[in-house]
Amino acid sequence: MNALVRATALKDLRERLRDPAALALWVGIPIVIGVLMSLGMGGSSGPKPKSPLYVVDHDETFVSKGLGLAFERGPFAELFDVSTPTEHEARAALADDRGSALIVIPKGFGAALLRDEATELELVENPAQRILPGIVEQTLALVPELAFHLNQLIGPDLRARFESFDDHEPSDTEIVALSLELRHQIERLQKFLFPPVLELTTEAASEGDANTGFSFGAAFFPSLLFMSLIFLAHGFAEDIWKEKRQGALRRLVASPQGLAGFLLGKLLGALAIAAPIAAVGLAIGWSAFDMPAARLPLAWAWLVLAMALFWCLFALVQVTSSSERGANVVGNMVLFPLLMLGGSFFPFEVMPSWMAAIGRWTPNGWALTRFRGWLERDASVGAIALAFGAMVVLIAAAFAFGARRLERSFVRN
Amino acid sequence: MIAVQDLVKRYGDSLAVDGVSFTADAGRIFGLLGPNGAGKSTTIGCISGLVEPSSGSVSVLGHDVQRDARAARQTLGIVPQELAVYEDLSATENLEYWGAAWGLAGADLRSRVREVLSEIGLADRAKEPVKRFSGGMKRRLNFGAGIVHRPKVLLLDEPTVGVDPQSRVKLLDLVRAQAANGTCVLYTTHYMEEAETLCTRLAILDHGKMLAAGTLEELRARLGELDLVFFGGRFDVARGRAALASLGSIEVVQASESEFALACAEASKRLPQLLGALGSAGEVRETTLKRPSLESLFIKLTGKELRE
Repeated sequence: MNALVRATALKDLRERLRDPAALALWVGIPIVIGVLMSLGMGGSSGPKPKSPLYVVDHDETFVSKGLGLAFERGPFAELFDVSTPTEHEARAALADDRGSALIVIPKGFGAALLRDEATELELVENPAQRILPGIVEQTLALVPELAFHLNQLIGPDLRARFESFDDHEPSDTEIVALSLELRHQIERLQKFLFPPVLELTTEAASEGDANTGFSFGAAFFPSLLFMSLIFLAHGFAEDIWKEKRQGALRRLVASPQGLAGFLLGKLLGALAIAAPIAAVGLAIGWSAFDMPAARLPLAWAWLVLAMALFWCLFALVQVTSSSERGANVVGNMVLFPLLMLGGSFFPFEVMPSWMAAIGRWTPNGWALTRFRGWLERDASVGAIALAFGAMVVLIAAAFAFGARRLERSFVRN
Repeated sequence: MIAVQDLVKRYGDSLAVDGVSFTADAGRIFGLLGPNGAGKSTTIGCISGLVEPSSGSVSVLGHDVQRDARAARQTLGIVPQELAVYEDLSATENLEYWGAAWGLAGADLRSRVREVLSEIGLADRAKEPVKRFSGGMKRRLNFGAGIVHRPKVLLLDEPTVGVDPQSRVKLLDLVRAQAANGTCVLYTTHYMEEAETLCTRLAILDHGKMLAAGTLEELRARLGELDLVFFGGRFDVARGRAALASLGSIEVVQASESEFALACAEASKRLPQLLGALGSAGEVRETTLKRPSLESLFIKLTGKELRE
């Protein structure tokens, strides 16, 4: 290895290790952000945050109340906090971005449904949200189909029973009678609806299996690793201006080994710090989020290469800026959009689709997508080799441009 | 060892260096003297390869710095104005880094670093981080980083700026020691007394032009044995010039309503005469007499004092 490359890498490594506070800050900021976001989104266990869902029932029949109650049962209960304010209050709350959706049940809804007549439900969605209003919309879309099939199967028998509840709240006795009626009807139809082809055996799930649902922590952890690397790359690349300011580059330009060796040394110095940090990060991912051990070496190599790319990009920002202050401003202008769009602040899953589509083509988004893909499922050797090849080409191009710029104009201006 | 021929460096419409030519020899200290903005650093930049000349040629030990850059740079050492040292590293680590940058390695590097630490008087602080050093110690280390690879040509760009008198004396001794060892030293400064005590040959630059060059004796001879006398006050310039002309053998270097600068032989003896002449053209409030020196030559050449 060229003596200047080795000496610069060693020099940078020594400087970093003697300023552990700066190092801790670069690595610590993403950890703090990650922990806060994970806590804010419910983490990997504990109660998940619910979003308000408003139901305004102008019908107030047994059927309409049943529709509202449907969102308080089963999986919906984990997502929604159902309440029944006035229509005006509910609309105002949605306008203030409080809540996911409002369902307005018109008068006569229950009767129309039982008579298989046309009726309408009004759904008002919070435009600032995407996923939860979509769930409500898809669920409501099932109502007409469900009503049709109920009418076909047991409509005439049940209609008379439901209509008797229109003028009063059903008593316990009436509810028991209705339940028995439904049971009787279902048993009658069972041989047609549920042919006993399959026998379902159930057993209590273990506690570990119970926690395998969505975990924001697990989904966000790869993003966190990339965020740490980006912060490190940004912080390390800022050194280039410092070296210019203190005259080191002015002296180095007179050395026979050229500035490309200096730049390569700085890149290797940055990687010498980032590589163990990436290894520690992956070890945490393996122990806390069940990252597959067999795929960790590949993931580590990818993280190190990603760091090289990020450093080269931020070094380019430094050497193309005409002042140290300008470099800092532009560096931050690149840093934060990259973090936000590239899936480092928020997983792609919670972004609007158009933003996620853009984000996946940012350098960090592209690298993160492959990183997560390789950890979550098998990938062909060809696909992995292609991605590594593309990464190396990108790094080489950014480095070559940066070195050229450093040699030709950055030091001399 | 250094040959600069018709060097021109242009930045847009402004000429930073305008046709400068000189040669500097091995074992000698060649001084580039001039105020800030005179073109000294640009000239050094052209020699070190930092700045690409617009025209002219520069060679170091016979190697053209543009066409044969690698060979030329192999022989060069540079001590920039800035403190090009790393504060978190020790003096040893700094010198090892700069030695490696010029290709030293292994035992040779380590022994040379020890040697330099001893030369610059930092052997007993070799392991301490540089951030604990005084300004003068950092300057000495900056100098050491420029000589660790035993350069045959040493470029020093105002190495004593902001240094306390004690450290300055030490640094100047180090520069002399380099020349005594056969190194060709190019030294830029705007401190006249430094140039007078240190340099064997000098070039005076201002606004990119070389106003004069030669040994200290040759330059003094250009001034003759004339003293410089400054009169401050309030004057009628035309009447003052006429009164002085009547005295004979007096050169008016600069004349304005507030100041007259005159060059004349044995000025101390002629002071009453000069005061009388200028007194008839206005009011004299202040008088300064300077013996022949580089500074008085600079004033004679440029009509102004050396600016900081």
